[in-house]
Amino acid sequence: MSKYSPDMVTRRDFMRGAAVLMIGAAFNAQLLASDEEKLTRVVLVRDENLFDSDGNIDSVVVQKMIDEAVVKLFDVNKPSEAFGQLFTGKDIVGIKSNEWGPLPTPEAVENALAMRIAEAGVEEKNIGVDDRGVLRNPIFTNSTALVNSRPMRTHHWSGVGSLLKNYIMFDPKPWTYHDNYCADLAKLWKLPICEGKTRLNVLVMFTPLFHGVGRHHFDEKYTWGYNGLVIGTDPVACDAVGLAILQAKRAQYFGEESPIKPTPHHILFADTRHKLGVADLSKIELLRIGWEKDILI
Amino acid sequence: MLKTGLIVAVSIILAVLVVVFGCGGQRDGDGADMRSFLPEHIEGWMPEGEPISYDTLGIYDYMDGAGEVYRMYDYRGMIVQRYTKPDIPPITVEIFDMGKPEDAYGVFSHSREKEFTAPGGGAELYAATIVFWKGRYLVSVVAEVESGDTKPAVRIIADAIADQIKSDSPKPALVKALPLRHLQAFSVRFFHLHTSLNYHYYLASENILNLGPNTDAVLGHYQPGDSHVLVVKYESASDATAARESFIENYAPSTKDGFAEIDSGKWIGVVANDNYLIVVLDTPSIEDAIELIEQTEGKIAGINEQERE
Repeated sequence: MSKYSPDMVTRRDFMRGAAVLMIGAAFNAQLLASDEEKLTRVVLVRDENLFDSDGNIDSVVVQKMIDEAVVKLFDVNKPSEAFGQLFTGKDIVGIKSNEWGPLPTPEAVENALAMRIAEAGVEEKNIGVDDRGVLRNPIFTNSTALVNSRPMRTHHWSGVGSLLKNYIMFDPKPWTYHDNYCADLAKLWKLPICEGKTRLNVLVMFTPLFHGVGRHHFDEKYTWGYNGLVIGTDPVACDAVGLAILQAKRAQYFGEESPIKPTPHHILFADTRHKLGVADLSKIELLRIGWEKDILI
Repeated sequence: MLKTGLIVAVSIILAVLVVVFGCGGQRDGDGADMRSFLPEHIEGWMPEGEPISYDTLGIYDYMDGAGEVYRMYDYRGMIVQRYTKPDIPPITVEIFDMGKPEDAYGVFSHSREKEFTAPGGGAELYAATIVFWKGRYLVSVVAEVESGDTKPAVRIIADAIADQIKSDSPKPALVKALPLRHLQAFSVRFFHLHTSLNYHYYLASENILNLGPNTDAVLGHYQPGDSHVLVVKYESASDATAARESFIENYAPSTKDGFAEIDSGKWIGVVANDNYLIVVLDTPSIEDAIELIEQTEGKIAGINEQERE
């Protein structure tokens, strides 16, 4: 009898395809389920006109993308209905952003979310955006609701900078989550300041980083204009979709399967070990909106 | 009187310690001050302020999660010094004390894609960056912008630092355990922990080979066949045997006489040889696995012979 946890993953599981996305096998659209099983819904929205001719993000397009995505996600007629389901006038809402220098959460995304949250009845003074200062920010320490938004990128230690990882600043000792390549980042979501509060996850894939090199793990040549947002209520499912896009891009760019190093198994364990959400692509209902060219999935 | 004498004695001891070791510098375990490796000025490049030191936990303040790579080895501390020259983008020097030469090589081998023989015990050069190891130190010299001015300056500063580190740079003896035939250039990784193994070859989410700070391990990649050879040196033969059993139980239960086909056309081989464990991974045939195991056993015999001499 093995002394190890029954949720242990080995390379052989990857070979069998049980955790196929983790080692970079090309994303197979057939993996997405289409039966009547209860699926986790994730929306991928893309817009060809996201960037202007100078490469600046068009905030009007961003607003449109978010609006279209939430309408689809919640199966409603207009964005206000969707945000009205998520927030009430009594809420104190923290938008957990990410300020990493080379690839921060775009201000246009933060602003678009804040505007719709305010329109849902939340007082402006009760809406805040923060990253590294969340533990000193009264909006976050007193929050009743959170919105989680960050760009997806490869990461030198956790494999990818994910929505799951974005909550690491909610613990004063972030390094205590580093063990085994951040395998148990999902624990963050059980912290009192976070647990049960996240209403929406917005994974930014405007110019994702699909390969990291050098001292800062960043080289612009390993980013590309994908012009996408992955939006859902399940952070694990959103991360799984984002990861599949990165893996597909790597396969395309390098001309062969090229697993991300280190293996971002924290997404898998958020599902199998911590039951936070769904990482299995066959249990995700992916709804696509907008620009189809080079969608990769 | 006795109390006064004690205070005087303690004061003298403290004064001597301050004279011998200075204060505030980042010293290694041998008493060397890493600041002494830094050039005071060179070719018009001047240090910007004093070097900043980071200890074992402080490394997170400097480089966030990237510090974990160094902490997988015997990282003791680091210093950072910026150099400036008018009208040219600055250059940053980082010197990491990795505790021993084997671990300086190990952390160097973690990410190097190519290797040059100088400066130091081995170096990687790309764009306007040089990373090299020498003695127990890993040194990184990085220009913020690659240019015709900064690229040669990075080399000049790196050479000056390498000259100041007087230690030898012996590679870990275990590196010699890998058979050379078909071994891919620059694929050799030296490490201790299962997190390192998983970075290069994801075996299992759990530490099924019982790797730890007191185990030395080396991994090499072989082509054709996309195979790997892993050699682990444990503290005892019983540790190696236990690791072999754990590997078989948790990874390849169908192993018979040390070999198993774990997937179509993918074979593994596992042998405990005294306090060494040899694992051959993903060979196209059992014959390839046997050949690599036998070659590795021969190499280990050579290492043991050298150690006896």
